[in-house]
Formats: sequence, C-alpha cells, structure tokens
Amino acid sequence: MMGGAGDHGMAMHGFHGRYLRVDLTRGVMEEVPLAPEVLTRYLGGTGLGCWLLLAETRGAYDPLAPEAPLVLASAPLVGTGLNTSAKAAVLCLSPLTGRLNDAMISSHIALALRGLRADALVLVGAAPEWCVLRVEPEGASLHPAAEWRGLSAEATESALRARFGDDHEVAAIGPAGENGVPFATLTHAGRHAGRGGTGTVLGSKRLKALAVRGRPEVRPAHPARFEAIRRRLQARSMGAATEKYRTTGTIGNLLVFNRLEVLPTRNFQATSHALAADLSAETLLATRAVHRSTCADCKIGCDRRVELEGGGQVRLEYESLFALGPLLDLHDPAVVLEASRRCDALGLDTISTGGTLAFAMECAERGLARFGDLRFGNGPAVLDAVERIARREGEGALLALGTRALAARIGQGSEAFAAHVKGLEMPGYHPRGLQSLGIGLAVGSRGADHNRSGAYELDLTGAVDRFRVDTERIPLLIERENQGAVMDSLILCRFIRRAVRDLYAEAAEMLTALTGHPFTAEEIARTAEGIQRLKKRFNQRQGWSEAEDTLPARFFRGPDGAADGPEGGGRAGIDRERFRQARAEYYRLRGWDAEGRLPPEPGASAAMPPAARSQPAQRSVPLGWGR
Amino acid sequence: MQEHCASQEHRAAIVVTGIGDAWVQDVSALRLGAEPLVARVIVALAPLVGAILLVPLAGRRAPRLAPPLGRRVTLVRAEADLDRAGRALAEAAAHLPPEATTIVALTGDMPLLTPACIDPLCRALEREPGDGVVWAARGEAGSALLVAMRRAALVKAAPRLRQGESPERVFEAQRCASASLGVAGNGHPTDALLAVRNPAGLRRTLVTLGLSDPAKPAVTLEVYGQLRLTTGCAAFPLHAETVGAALAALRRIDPEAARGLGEDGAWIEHFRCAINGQQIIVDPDHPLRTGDRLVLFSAAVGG
Ligand code: SF4
Repeated sequence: MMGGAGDHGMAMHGFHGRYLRVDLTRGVMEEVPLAPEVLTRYLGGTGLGCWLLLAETRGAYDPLAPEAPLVLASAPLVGTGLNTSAKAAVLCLSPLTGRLNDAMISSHIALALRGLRADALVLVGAAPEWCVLRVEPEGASLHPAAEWRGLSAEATESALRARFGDDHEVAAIGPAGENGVPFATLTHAGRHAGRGGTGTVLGSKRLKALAVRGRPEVRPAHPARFEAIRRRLQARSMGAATEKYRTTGTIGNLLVFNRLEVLPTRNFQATSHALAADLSAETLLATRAVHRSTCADCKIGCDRRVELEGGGQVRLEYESLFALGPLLDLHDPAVVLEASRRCDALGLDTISTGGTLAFAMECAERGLARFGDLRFGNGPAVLDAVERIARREGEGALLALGTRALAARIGQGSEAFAAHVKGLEMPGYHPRGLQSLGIGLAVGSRGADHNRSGAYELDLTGAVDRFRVDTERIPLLIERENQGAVMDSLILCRFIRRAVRDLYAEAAEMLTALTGHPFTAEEIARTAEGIQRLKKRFNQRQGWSEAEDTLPARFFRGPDGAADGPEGGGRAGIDRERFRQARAEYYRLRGWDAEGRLPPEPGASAAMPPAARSQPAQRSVPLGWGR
Repeated sequence: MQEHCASQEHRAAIVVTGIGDAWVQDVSALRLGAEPLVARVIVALAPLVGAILLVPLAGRRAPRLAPPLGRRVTLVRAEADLDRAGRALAEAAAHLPPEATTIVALTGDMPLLTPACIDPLCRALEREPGDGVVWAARGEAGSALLVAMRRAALVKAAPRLRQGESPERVFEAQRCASASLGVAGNGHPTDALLAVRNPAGLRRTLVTLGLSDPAKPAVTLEVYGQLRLTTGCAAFPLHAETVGAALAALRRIDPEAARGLGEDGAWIEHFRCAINGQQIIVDPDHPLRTGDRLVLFSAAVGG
C-alpha cells in the first residue's frame, strides 16, 4: 500500500503533500513529496499542474514522446462538497499546438482522484502494449486493453465499471485518441477534457483508459466556518447569477450570439446565420425531450442531453452546436446532433473538428483543395468526414491534422482564413464583434481558448466598446484571466463565477477555513500572477515567440485599412495598430519585456521557476499486471 | 443525476383556430412579430402540456407554423366541415392522447396569453374533485373562451357541442370554479387577456395594462432563453422612453416570468440590453427612439 505524506507529515488540511508518479515504461508508481510552499503558492488544479509539468521536464520536448507527462491535478476544494468543485485539471504539452494545454475533467472521476490521497497523479512513459491503468489507494496495475480497443469512451467506461466494479471511475479515450488524432478528447461520464489533445497524449502512452477508485475524505480545519461558506455559496449560486446555466445551459448562447452578430458562420466569413433559430435552445427545448444533468457536487446543472430521433441521447453545449452548425452552414438539428454524437463517440473535440472542417470547406469553395464532397451545408459529407478523421482514413488523414497544419499543407494564402491561435481552433465567439476577446485569445497561453481568457465578458457585459480595441481595457482583461486561473486552481467551475463577489477575498476565506493556513486576498492575487508566469515559462521553454500572439488575418481590417477586410465577416475588422498597442500594453502590465518574454527571476533559470524541481521519490512500488 | 425537462404528458390542449377575422385583416397593426397569433398561443401552452390539438374551423386554412412549434402539435382535420367552435372541440376530443386527463380548451387567439396564465388554470382544475369545468375569468361577450376540464367532462359535453350548442353555454352549465390567471398578479383585471378580440381591443388592453402610451417611443423588446420560454413570446411591442421603462413594462406584462429582472434597476446585475443588437447598454436611463429594438439577454453570457 502506498502511504500518504499528507497523512504523515503535511500539517495542513486540504492538501496531501505528495503526488503520485506512474512511470509506465519502468512499471512503477512512485510517491513524490510536495513542499507546503508549492501547494500554498500554486494551490492545485491548473496552478499545481503547471508547476508539475515544469518540475517533471527539463527542456523542450515532444508531446507524444514517452517521457512527456500527463498531469491530473486535484485541488484543495475538490471533495469538500462546495458547489461545482468536483473537477480536476488535466495538463500536458498539446500535440495540436505544441504549447501548454490545461483542460478540466469533471465529476466523479475528480472525486476519485482526490480519494487517492495525493494532490496529483502524473503519468510518464509508455505501456508495453495497449492497457488500462487502474489506480487505487493501495497501488496501481496495468490491464491489457485488447478487448476494449476501438470502443467509444462511453462504452469503455461501462465495460470497465462492469469489470472492476462501480466504485471505479473511468476516464477513457475513443478511437480518435487511439489513432493519434491531435485533438482527441479524454472523457468521463459524457464530459470531456476536450481541447488540445489530452486524449491523444493518453493514447501515446498506450493507455485506453484510466480507472480510479478512491473516496475523498476532506476534513476542514475549521468545519463550522467552512460549512457557513459552503451554504452561502450554495444560496448565491441558485439565484439569477446562474439562471442561464440552470434553465437553458450554454446552448442558450446561440440565439443571443446570432442576434449580437458574433455567431461564427461559414468559417467566420459571417457573424450570423439566417436559420440559427432552428438550432437554438429555445427551439430544442420546445421541440425535443431534453434532460438536464449535472456534474457531481453541482447544483447548477448546465449539462443538457437531447434525445435523438433514432434513440439515445447526445450531450449538447453551445460550442458543439456552433462548431458543427453555423460554422459549417448547417442548421438541421438532426444533422448537427448526429455530428456531435459521432464526435463524442469517436473521442473528437467538437470545436477543432468543426473548425477544421469549416476551413477545408472554404478551401474547397475557393478551389484551393478538394476533400470529396465536403462543402458548406453538406450534412452527409460532414457526418462521413467525422468518421474518417477519427480513423485517419482517406481525406480524413489530412483533416486530422487540424486547421493550422492543414493550412501549412495547402498554402496558397489559406493561412489568412485558417481560424486558429497557436494551432487551437477558434471558439464560437467572432472576434470582430468581441474585440477584447480577440486580444485575449491572441495572448492566451493555450491558444484560442475563450474560457482561459474570459475577456468576452468585458465585451458582452458592456464594460467596454466591443467593436474596438484599446489599451485602457487591458488591466480588466488581465484581471479576468487571473481570476480564471484562480478558479481553475481552487477548483470551482467557471459557471459559478457570478455568484462569487470578491474572488480573491472569498478564495482566501475558503482556503483558510479549509486548510487552517492563513491565506489572504493579496496572496491569492499573487498566486494568480504566479500561475500566469508558470504558463508563460512553459511555453517559452517550448519555443514560444511573439509572432504567435496574434489572430489570423481574417479578423483584422483589410491591408488598405478599409473597414471590412477582404475576407468579410460583416463587421469592421480589428485595427492592426491598435491591436499591437494593446498587446504591448498586455506584456508591459504582465511585467514582461517588449517582446513578451519573462524577465529573469532571481533563483530561476529560463526554464524553471524557483524551487521547481520535484523532490526525490520517497517510495516506489511496482505496477501490478491484471486481467 | 437527471431531471426531465419535457412537458407534462397528463395535460393536453385543444386550440380552435380561425375565429379571428379581425386579426387576420389587421395583423400587421399588432406588431407582434412575424408569427401568426396562434403560434404565440402554442408557444405559451407548450411548456405545460404534452400535446396540443389544433382544429381549424371550416373555410380557414391551417395556420402555417414554424417548425419549432410543430412537434407537439397535431392538426385535427374533420371529415365534415367544422363550422362552430363547439363542434371543433367535440371532434378534437376523439383525438386526445390516452394519457391526457387534464384538458385545456381555447377558442380563439389570445395574444397576451403566457404559460403563467395556463398553469393556475390547470392547477385549479387539478384541485377540484369532480368533473366540473374551471373557467378562466371571462371577458366581454364573444371573447375567446379559455377553460380547463377533465377528459370525462369533455366527453360528457361532446353530444351537446356536436348539436351546435355554444361552448360557453355548455361549459357554463358544468362550471365548478373560476381560476385567476397568473397575469393578474400585477393588479389588473384578469379579464384583460380575454377581452382582446381585435387589434383595437389589444391596443386598449395594452393601454389599460400601462404597456402602451402613444406619446412615448414605440419600441420592441426582444427576449431570449428563459424569458422567451416562460413568456412564450420572442418580442414585446411597448411604448417606453428609456431602457429601464421598457423593462418595467415587461414586468407588468408578466410579473412571474420577469421575476428574475428584480425590482427597478436590479436587472442590471444579471441582464444586459443591446440596442438594436449593437452596443450593450448598462444605463437604465438610456433613451430610446421609436423603432428601437432592445435585445435583452442574461449577463451570464458565454461559457
Ligand atoms: S455548472 Fe455545469 S460544468 Fe459546471 S460543475 Fe455544474 S454541471 Fe458541471
């Protein structure tokens, strides 16, 4: 049985003071101590995960090399029953972008990971054959996975629970992850650590799935205080602050975005779709049986599962609807729901799949390339292409490259309308009408991720003029990004954000009541900055340069300065000069140099933050082999 | 954990359409959006009933419904022409789904109807022990009829309805209670909804409810998400000088649905308005001009 430094040696409640490293090549699980300073400084989730990625590697590396780590980082609030706290961060070097990829995986798997009595689980190496990794508080074992290969994540999850027992929680990949598609998802209970290829990295280790058994036992240092905080958050999060998520879920965005002309349509060539109403929450909820579902420890329940005409259900969220609907000029719910179902079953990220298909369609429309019958509005061709991408078959092998690499192959100026940042396909927010978000996506460490930035809130809540960029809004933009990093490290779901009034003060209050360590709002604010520095350091080590902190040409004004660039979009594009000024201001306020690089820190090398070296493993036990 | 969001299968509605010549003639004057009025009625019913039977009267074309409205709606076509509302109701009775026990019947268009009106009516019936008919408070003679009854009551009434007796008279004889419609929560007469027989009546009602003042700019308030689902309306024509006044008017139209807006300026915490879909306004005193369209949406946008 593995011990637990938290159970013997860690004075603070809420942390375990160790992480587990499973080395699949060497066939061992090791217990590695984590210093209290690291935990209080980076908390957990994304913060701790970034620190571990840096600590576990020594320089630039290949995302699919055996030594590439996949980090599953728990966090202090996980398992406390606090509303929306059942999440774990999944971090790796993205095979799609070559940059940091920090995703979230939600619900019971997060609770089970917390139940391992470790602050994180780090996977390195590669198994000798396709396996399932089973991790329990007593140890870990590998199980040959031949019989589950080719199954969807959902089917794998059911099969493994039948094999190992319902007390196991499973995160699995589908065929796309097995086939090395660089935007493959890692899935648990129908929810995905979706973007950037976390599933691809698991697959590169020849792991079909991870089965975890563990029950979290979190005892706050000050139980009564913590309970009062829990109740307060619970009460606030059931009011108007979360009503949209509770009533329509995120699919409620579609019709509003269409009306505000920020709904990306036909590969971002337009900002609204004439038939968007057919796919709207207002229509789907009135015409189909829609079930509401929640993550564990969540009373909001943003999750919507729509019944399909031929039986079964599909989980729907706004990003899937936009990416497989208007972005491809599709509006028939039957086609879009089926495309989404196939992506889920095959383990493909819906945004990257839709984004790449939309790009290919525009290339076909312009006569730059052909991909069979793939054209805007051709639903059957989309359904077929989704299957081929997952199998990397025929044109699917090209489409499986993702937008950036595909544009590099096609060339002929197609890069101008290849909608990605750092290789990550753009989300369902048209930057021409959301120009703060345009900056946020451009400088984002993960690439075009709307949630890591959160700057759309500035545009859509009227805090700024959404049709222009300027330097004045940059402090607000940085603050949104920082607050997001804290939520991802505590962890709390982003959808509860409006129920939290003063994030740093309330986070300090929660952590103090939980851990007994006196956190302050100022420390939490510094933690936010520190996490951003870790992200930057990681990317810098992987070869980041200023040139990649930008948007595709499509979103800027035309080269002649005309209000609408040659690529259209229905709205004036972003002014390049103002964009450059805003980006420079972002670097300045972050304390980076004029090229956006971190200045040297005392005690830190270019690659490592101070003290970012994991300590020697305390214990090591061999992985068992099971059947 | 899963919670079913679909409608209640034990309830069904019968909507007799084609009564309102007056509306057809002057529908543009209503400025109620592009939908036929019956579509608004169906949207109001949809969240609360499992099935809607639509019965067009003789000589009327079935209204063309946008696809979203179509799924729960069954169009009842009779062998013989149905020239009276009572006959149409009796005909529809034979097409009710077997699981439907609570029947809501409407004869005519009620453009101000919302789900908040239907629910109290159904609940009032479901509290009544026998086979009586519960009436919504009634407007002037000739107004549309809105009643709820158990299936057995409709079966009992059917022979008289088939004979051509007016449903008012038949159901009056079976009346067991009257229900107060939800919209009355704002203190206005419950009859206001049913008293609307033509565009002039609608205009009068809007003035009565404080929703219309021709001296002020005529604007349209578009609602999305939960507000659209609960009010059953995509857009409300209003007269208002400012954003705040327009939202106050929405609260008067449907206090229950608009509860999330809070009192007075409280909406700003959780909602946003975009004038004509462009810049997003947070100032409740922002002035409006005739023709403006206010897009009201949740501030928890995105995610
Ligand atoms: S709000 Fe949605 S994503 Fe967030 S925890 Fe709840 S169900 Fe999960």
